[in-house]
Amino acid sequence: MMTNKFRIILILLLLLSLIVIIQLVRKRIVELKYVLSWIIVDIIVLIIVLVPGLLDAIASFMGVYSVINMVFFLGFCFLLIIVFILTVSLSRNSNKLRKLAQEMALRGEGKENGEKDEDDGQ
Amino acid sequence: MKKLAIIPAYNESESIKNTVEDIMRNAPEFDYIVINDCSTDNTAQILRDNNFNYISHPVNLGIGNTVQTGYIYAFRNNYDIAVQVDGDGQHDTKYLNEMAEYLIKNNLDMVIGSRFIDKEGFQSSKMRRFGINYFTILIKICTGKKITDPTSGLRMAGKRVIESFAREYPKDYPEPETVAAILRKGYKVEEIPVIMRKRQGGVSSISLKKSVYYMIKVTLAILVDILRKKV
Repeated sequence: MMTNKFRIILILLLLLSLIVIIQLVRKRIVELKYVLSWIIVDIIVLIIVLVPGLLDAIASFMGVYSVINMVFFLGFCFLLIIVFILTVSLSRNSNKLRKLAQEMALRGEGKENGEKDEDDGQ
Repeated sequence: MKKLAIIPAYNESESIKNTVEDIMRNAPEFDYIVINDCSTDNTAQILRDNNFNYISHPVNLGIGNTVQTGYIYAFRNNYDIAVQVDGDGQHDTKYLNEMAEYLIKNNLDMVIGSRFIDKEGFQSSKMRRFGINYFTILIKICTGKKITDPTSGLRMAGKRVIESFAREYPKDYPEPETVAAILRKGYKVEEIPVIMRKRQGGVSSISLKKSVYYMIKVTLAILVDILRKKV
């Protein structure tokens, strides 16, 4: 179902994204913890593209007639999961931020006191 | 008896001085703390110049967290009573002593100043009252207690409630949700009639568009709280 030309384009794209992601981790721009899921998906898709007939096998195993429908469905589910995990992470982070800010304020190290300290240093 | 007035302030340069001086005059046995939620105007400067007792958030956290900082302050400094006073002049500070006496005399955990017992003074718009009624009914169903003014911001907390609020307090629109949670813990909450003024400055934090979000969020929060274990 896939022409070889398209297969090669896909493989190059997947390898490219993998390299970009790993570069970003290497430069510490993103945290490995949070891109792990993307790396795993990249590799899974790479395997699917590299092994001919694998996709059809999965589709027939899942009882899906149209292979492309299955691809869209799985992709959609995966995105929902990642977005939800990010929501959880956001809630946790905003809680931590709140506690930090409150603690700073209560210790008298809020915004304005910080400014005063800088003045003192001059 | 250590008593504290918590004054959350975000860009309140016009009214903050009046609010603090009002408390000093009308409720001298109350200590006060202004929590400056990283105001962008000169609120902090006014607080500093007047030598008011205040602390500042390093970032803007919103009203719920700002009030909570006040309760944490109250908890850590061993206050027996804490009351939240809004900076916009809606709350008359002459009620503070009356509320404190009522709380101590009846051994309560929370006293709420209600506009709707005597139905005097500023009564809010029809739409708002409809929403407030809805919360009254919801809280009555969930906790069995009728609170006539669950959205009132004029609330006085005793020691147990201070500790509870210091631990857990909603980020936005906290009033009905926290009253329900406190009642569910078996704490004693009563209301006394108060007269509120129309706000003197600023606009309500709840616009019509936000009120839909408000209703849904608070309803869900109260319902989810029922699913929590009683502590």
